[in-house]
Amino acid sequence: MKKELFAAALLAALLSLSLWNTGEIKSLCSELDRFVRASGDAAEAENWEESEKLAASAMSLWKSRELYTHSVLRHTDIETLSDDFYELQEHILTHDAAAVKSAVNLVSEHLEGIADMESLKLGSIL
Amino acid sequence: MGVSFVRTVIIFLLLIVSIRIMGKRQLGELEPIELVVAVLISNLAAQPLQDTGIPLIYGIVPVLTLLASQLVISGISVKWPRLRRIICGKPSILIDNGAIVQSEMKKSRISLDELFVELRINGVTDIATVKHAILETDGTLSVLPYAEFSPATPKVMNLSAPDNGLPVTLISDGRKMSDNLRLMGKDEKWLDAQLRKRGVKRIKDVYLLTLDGGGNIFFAKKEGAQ
Repeated sequence: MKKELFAAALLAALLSLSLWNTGEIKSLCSELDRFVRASGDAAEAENWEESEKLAASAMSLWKSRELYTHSVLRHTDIETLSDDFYELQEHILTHDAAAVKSAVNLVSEHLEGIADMESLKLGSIL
Repeated sequence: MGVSFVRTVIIFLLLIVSIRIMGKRQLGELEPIELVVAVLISNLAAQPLQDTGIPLIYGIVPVLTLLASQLVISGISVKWPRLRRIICGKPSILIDNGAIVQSEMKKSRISLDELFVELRINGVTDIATVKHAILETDGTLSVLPYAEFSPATPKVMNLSAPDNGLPVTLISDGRKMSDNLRLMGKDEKWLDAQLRKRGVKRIKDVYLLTLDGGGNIFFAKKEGAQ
């Protein structure tokens, strides 16, 4: 019976860990999205210094969670998003507001995709 | 990760239902739940190994989920036999008191040819000697002959049979098993004497030598040894 109790506890732990992970991914993605959108807004207002700072903050947050993201996300998704961040920073440096806007939309889209993929919705399960 | 967990549980349950519908003959000596776990685990574990772009956790979470689910369901089945019947099914009596139960044969999708194959595997060549044949939940056939066709045992014949215990290997493929030699209370001298008695000079030339509690020795010389 001990073994079965251990198995039930393991199932409960896996379920809890999965739910925690879903929340964690969602919160990380929404925080990154907030930085990126703010960076886009600053670029639109031609406040390039602030835009660059916010994009760098997003990048540094993303990099600081490298171990976690590599453990729970597909590496292709991580690479795509990292490339999106670099592209955004590049456009900010060239002061190209239109390109920044489209880069912001791309990052947001990918962040939403990652959060959606991990969320326990019927669509992502099926 | 959460998606992996829920997906694993859904696929696990779906496969159990599918295998139960497929019937016992598909099982091959595994209970439905064991077969499902065996089929899924190898595939799940291979994915992160084949593709390094997939995090290891995508293999670990489903494998642990399957193992824990199997343990939990098996544990509950012991306490609640009805669940066991739902998951594993119940044995089918194919021959009852010498009569072939055709409805059960049809239900289990077992043809007469297959029944004969299973009977032959069980050492039965004449179906008339079989009192009961039961298709177990793991797909194996248990055959119970009529008493007059059952193998005679020493007890039935009022004979006493010596119990010599389990034979212990003393030499295996030219290698001496010193621990086993000690276990049987013998020494090298005794072993050498046994080899000499059988015309062998070196342990290397012996393929197998066993000894049981009654002192009976089984000896096999290596092919090509002098």
